[in-house]
Amino acid sequence: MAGKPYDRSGGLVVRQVLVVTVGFVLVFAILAFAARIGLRAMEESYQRLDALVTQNNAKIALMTAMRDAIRERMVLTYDIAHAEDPFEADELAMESAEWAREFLRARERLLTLDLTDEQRARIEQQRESLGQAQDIVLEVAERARTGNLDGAGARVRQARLANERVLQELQTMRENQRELARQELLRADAAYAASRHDIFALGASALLVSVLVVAFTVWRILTQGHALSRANQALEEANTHLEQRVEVRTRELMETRAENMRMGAELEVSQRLQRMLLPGSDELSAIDGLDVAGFMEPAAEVGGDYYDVLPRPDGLRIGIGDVTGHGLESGVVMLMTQSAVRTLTAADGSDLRATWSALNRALYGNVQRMASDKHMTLALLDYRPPTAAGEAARIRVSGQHESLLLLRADGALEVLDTDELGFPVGLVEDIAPFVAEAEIELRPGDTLVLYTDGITEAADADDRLYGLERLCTLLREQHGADAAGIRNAVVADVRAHVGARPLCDDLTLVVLKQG
Amino acid sequence: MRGKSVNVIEGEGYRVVDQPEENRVVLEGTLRLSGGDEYAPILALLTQALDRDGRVTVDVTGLEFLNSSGIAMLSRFVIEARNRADAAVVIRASRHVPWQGKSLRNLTRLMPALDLELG
Repeated sequence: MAGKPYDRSGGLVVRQVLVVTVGFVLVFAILAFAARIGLRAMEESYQRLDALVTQNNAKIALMTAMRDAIRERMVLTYDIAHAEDPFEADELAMESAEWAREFLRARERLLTLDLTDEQRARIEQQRESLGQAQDIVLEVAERARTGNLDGAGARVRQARLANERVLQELQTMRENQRELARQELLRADAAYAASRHDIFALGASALLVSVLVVAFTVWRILTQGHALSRANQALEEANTHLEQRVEVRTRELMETRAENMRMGAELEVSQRLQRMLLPGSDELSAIDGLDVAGFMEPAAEVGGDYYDVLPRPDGLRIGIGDVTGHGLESGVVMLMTQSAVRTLTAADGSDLRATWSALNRALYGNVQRMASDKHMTLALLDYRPPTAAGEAARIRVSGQHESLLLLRADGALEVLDTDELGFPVGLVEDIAPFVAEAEIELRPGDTLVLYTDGITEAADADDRLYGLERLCTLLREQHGADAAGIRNAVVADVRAHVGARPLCDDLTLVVLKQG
Repeated sequence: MRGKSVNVIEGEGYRVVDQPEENRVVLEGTLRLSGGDEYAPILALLTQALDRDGRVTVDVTGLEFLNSSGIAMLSRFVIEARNRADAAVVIRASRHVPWQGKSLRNLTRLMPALDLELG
């Protein structure tokens, strides 16, 4: 769990590095592309300009050379016309021819250059004008040689006109050429501007992409920072929370331990209370004529079981009961019951109805004080020994409790319901209306078995109850045994049934066998 | 759960419903309240049904467990009903719920006119 956020942030880092790398590669690619386009465009326009300038210069130079040649020839034609010496005229004519050849060479070279159609047409026309001029020069030279210079002036003028036409043409061509060059330059400028525009556009895109990449990176770093700080905060909170929880839990554990100790102490105290006032085995064995065996095992959380065997002037009083619920309160009610029964027994208590009334009032009053609503089943048995040998002992039974099991000497078993003999003690203010009594005859060899529901409701691991039926069956089998034998057999059988499971309720058993 | 104005007391593991139309109070679940004070609202609900009409049905067939304080509370209710000349109480119970047998039969001894229907 703790490693997960780190794993995720590791993935984020890798993704960010990828995005940044791809972004910068893209920016460099765009810039490289822009630079390539720009360089190529620059190179092209440079080359074009270079070619343009070179060609323009060549054309201009050739046209200048042609113009100079024409001018020379015009001067020479004039000189020829005014030459006094025929040889001089010849020489001048030759020189003129030389210039004409010069002109033609320049013209030929011009024609090899990249010319417009118009320029070519003009050059073609010049050839005619130049031819005419040449014819005139030759004629004037001839006349000069022959001395016949009549009309030479007119011819010279004609030649001059022709030459001037050519000159004019050349001038026009030069101007046109300049105009062309200017236009080329403009075009080159435009191309340059266009490539500059392209470069700027690409540069701007590269810049935009860079800005986006930077913005993205910054954003990611910031959000990651936020997430990290949030995670840190959460972690801190969790730590604080954890500390608090540990503190609370520790306190709870301490409290629980204290509570457990308190409860352990309470359980121990309750169990000791429960056992404290039980009749001792020496007391029981001292009883004449009646074999008495008692057993009580309190559950971990005591169930408030009660039994007692008390001497009376004319016999014994045996009590057995079960306080509702479990724990210290039930144990305390059990102790109060023991005390009250003992007190009432000591103060005579032969009037059963009065005994029950007093007992109930005492317990009801105390239970009200305890605000616990505990009440209990309770049966009191007043035993009077047989008056003569062979006679039966008589037992007056009163109070509501579990059934009494009367195991006859021959193994027959009688179950006596006590529901109608009383009422839960401590439940209502006045118990007197519900008290009744029954009498049992206990002949020699007969056994009376008293128990609490801890025996019949003892549960095994599968929640099966021990049950009254199993108890009765066992008792029938044990009818020949003495009180302790019967008690031990029942306890062993109940324990075997319960197995390793802890007791849910107190186990109480009292066996009275008439000797 | 029919009835126009249903009065309900609910707690952990239990529910007590007053059904005025049939003047019936239904107790369900497991009641382990401690002492008379905690049972007082339930006793008040039962007494309220008794005040409304002398004939009250208390249905505990769905009440799986009732502790000693609860039995004391029911006893007080039955004594209250017994003290009213015109009251008639029917308790509907189940034979299959362990606590109900003896405890409820004791109620009939408190009030012999009480009608215990053990289903």
